[in-house]
Amino acid sequence: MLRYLPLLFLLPACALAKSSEPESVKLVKACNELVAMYDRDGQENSLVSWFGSVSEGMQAGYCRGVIVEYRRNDKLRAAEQWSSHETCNQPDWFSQAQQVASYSIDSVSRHSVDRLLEASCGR
Amino acid sequence: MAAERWITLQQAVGDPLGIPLAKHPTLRNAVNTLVKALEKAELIKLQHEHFEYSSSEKKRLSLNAADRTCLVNAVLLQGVFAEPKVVLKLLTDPAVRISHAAWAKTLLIDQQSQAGQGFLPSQLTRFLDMLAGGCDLKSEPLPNPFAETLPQMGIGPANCTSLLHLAAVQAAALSQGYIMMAYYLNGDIEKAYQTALKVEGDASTLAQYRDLIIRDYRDSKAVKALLDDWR
Repeated sequence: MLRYLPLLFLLPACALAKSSEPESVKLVKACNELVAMYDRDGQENSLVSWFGSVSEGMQAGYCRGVIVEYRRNDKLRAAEQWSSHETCNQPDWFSQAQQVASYSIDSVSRHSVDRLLEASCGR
Repeated sequence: MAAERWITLQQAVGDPLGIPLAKHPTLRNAVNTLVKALEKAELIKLQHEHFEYSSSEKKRLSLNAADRTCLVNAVLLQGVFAEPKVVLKLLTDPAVRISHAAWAKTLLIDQQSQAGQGFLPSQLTRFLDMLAGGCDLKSEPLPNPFAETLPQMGIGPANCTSLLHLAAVQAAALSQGYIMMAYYLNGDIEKAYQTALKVEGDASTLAQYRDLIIRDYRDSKAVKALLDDWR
């Protein structure tokens, strides 16, 4: 039984690498991991052990990277077209990540990542 | 009564155990201490001679060949129990023999922690059984429980010079290890890490857990710092 233990650890990584699911679904899952990490970190008083959480960590980083970069671009666009630009109604990247994480997989699978991020800003 | 034959320390101890004492100064010192204690207790006889053609105050020690068995037994006992004082008691007091044999058996054989301690478990069992029995240790040779080297050579792990000293060190390392594992399994990685820093030794399973815990702690600290930095 123990021989198969390493396989178990590899499974999430494989699932992430090989899946053919839409990018939007990947982003929602990634943001779920990010929010879960902060939840766990906030709940426990002592240091949380992240042993074996490489795949979760990578997904969390991916979510944050996408959202931070989206918001940076959004600001640039706002500066260019200030009169017609509708600002994002999420005050910071984390609340936007929480919004993305709240979407159901089914509802986002038909949409693009761009549409998903726009929607998370209330646009 | 046969004429007394005088032999050197090497002939009395080194040859029967197959060890050149001249090459192992730590062992030779340990045996010398033991020999003097045995002489003081009048368990063996020594002859102190001045070296021929030498003005040195140093004296050559000669041992009575008849005391050879007693002396080898004493050296083997020293390898298990360390203290010459204890060895003397073992040679003279039957009650001490029984209690110490039982004690050593629990610590060394029943604990199943003897891996790498450099003794032969079956021989040590025979050795301790004979010790617990009533045989005359001055005439009946004990079986040599040590694989190749005597603990008195001080070349074993942790520089311990007797089996019981080694067992005590291991037991201490073991209990620290248990505390470490308990903290870790309770999810208290901070305390597990603090304890892991005190767990000594390498190559044991415990040491692998220790290294894992130390790595996990540092990784988790880094993740925590990153999470805090992001928000």
